[in-house]
Amino acid sequence: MQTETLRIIEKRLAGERLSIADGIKLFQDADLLSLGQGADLVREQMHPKKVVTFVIDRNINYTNVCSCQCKFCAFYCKPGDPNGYILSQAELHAKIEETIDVGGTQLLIQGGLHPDLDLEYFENLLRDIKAHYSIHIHSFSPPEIWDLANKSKLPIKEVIFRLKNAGLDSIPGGGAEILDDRVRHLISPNKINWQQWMDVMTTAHKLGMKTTATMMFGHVETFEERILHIVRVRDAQDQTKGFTAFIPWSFAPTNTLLGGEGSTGVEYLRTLSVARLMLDNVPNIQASWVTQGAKMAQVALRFGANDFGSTMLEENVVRAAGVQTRVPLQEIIRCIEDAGYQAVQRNTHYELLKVYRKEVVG
Amino acid sequence: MSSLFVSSELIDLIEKVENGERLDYDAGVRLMNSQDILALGYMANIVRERKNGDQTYFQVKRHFNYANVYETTMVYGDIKSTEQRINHLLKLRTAQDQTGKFLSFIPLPYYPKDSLLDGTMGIGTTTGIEDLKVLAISRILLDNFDHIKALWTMLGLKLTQVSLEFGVDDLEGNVVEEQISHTGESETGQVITKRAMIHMIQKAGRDAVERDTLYRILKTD
Repeated sequence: MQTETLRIIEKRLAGERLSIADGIKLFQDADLLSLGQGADLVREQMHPKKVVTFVIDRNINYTNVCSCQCKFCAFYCKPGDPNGYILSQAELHAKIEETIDVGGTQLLIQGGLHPDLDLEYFENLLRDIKAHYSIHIHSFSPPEIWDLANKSKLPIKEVIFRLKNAGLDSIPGGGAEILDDRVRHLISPNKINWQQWMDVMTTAHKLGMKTTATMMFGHVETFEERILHIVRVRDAQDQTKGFTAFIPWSFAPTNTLLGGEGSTGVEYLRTLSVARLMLDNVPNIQASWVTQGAKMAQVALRFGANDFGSTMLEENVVRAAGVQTRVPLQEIIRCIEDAGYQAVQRNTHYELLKVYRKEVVG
Repeated sequence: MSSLFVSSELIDLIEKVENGERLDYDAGVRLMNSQDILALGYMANIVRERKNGDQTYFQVKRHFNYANVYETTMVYGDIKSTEQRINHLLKLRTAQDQTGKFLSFIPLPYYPKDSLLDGTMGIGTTTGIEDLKVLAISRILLDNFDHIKALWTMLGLKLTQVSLEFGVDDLEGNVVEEQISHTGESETGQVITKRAMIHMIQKAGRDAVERDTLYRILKTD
């Protein structure tokens, strides 16, 4: 049992690609420390300088009104609910200014699928931001883009093209959940299917935009479905080379319809390690302090992750699911340095911007 | 598995631990100064499984008993140097050689009075890696202690579960029979139900064993 999983890990360390069967076997049988050591060695191969990056940005939710109403979500409001909001331009500007004041380089603007917001709304939003501020817009998601395509009756390619022209610089990997339709049907029946998600990303890549890919696990999916998700990202990456990073995180059950036990710390590290071993063509793997807390996110840096994610001045979606973590910049630096790495601020494209030192930040 | 660690700076110590040899002060200092937590975990896990197999102990009770005479501790995360920590551990080891009275050892992370707990990372708290390092090194060096304990209320449940692969075989913290009030997600709460504790231990691939103060087994799951 142990020798088989060891053979698979060593196969990857020798530079060979792992198969779907290999991946499933790792999930089923490999022990945590072997997975971690394998993933850590692969990380070192791919990132030999002892650096962990992070980005200073802000998550802005322009609306919480959503017609998709996924069962794992604690954030959405149904259309017509009095707690529903749309951010005003003044509120948006204030949030952007705060972000720039603390050295933020990126805006991650996402929202629910609001029935009344059309493509013109988004184009105006983007143009307005670019007219007033110089900042990278890494925003929206495949579900939002498909929603616009349906509303405007335009092909995906044209919607993305128009958004890009209006100021959209790159697209985050949200809405991926598990890239498998059996699972999607159970946890988010109103959402786009996995191929539609992938279509948006590969189309964006071909238009010259980078994106990330995420995975939300620890609910109804099987090990095989987790591996299929990862392999589907890998296959697309072979074609387009447009994914900058992969970000797995665990489902948080509180305040959601799906409920259940959620996922454990061990399961998170195992999944992270398997992802690093399987994704030989995706350069960066992000740790998720938002769903795991800072202690676990730091440990993740030895289980395959090479990026600490975002300092995120604001985060509403996961917080609605009862996960309470705030990690100030100096703590991110401390976590990274205590793990034996140099902390370097990056931009959305993972270009290195600035080295941060624990003592200097203070 | 050890073939994955051949290039580790600690490979000579790994071999010693695999052979059941006691590690000395210099080895202890090397372990504490190392950043190779996976190698530390590997060594700690060997000792853990040698002494306790997959058994993971917990007690159903409400309060951490600071006056437990069968248990000793070390506070870490304050200003102690590496040398001071290793000296402390080796002193305990020597005392245990002489009297054999301790059943368990529990490292305690130092928290300044107003700091936040569990994953919120207030200034001055210990990092996850430091927590795992101290637990693992305690397990490796204290070869004459049966049980290494983690205090889950300070580490958080996720990291506590991970610590079961880093040398820990005993979990300390408030465990109740059942949830009296609905407190929401147990990650941020200070109480866990027995059912949730057993579930967590089993999901780590270990056996959950309910015990009494003297490590007599009450129930195995």
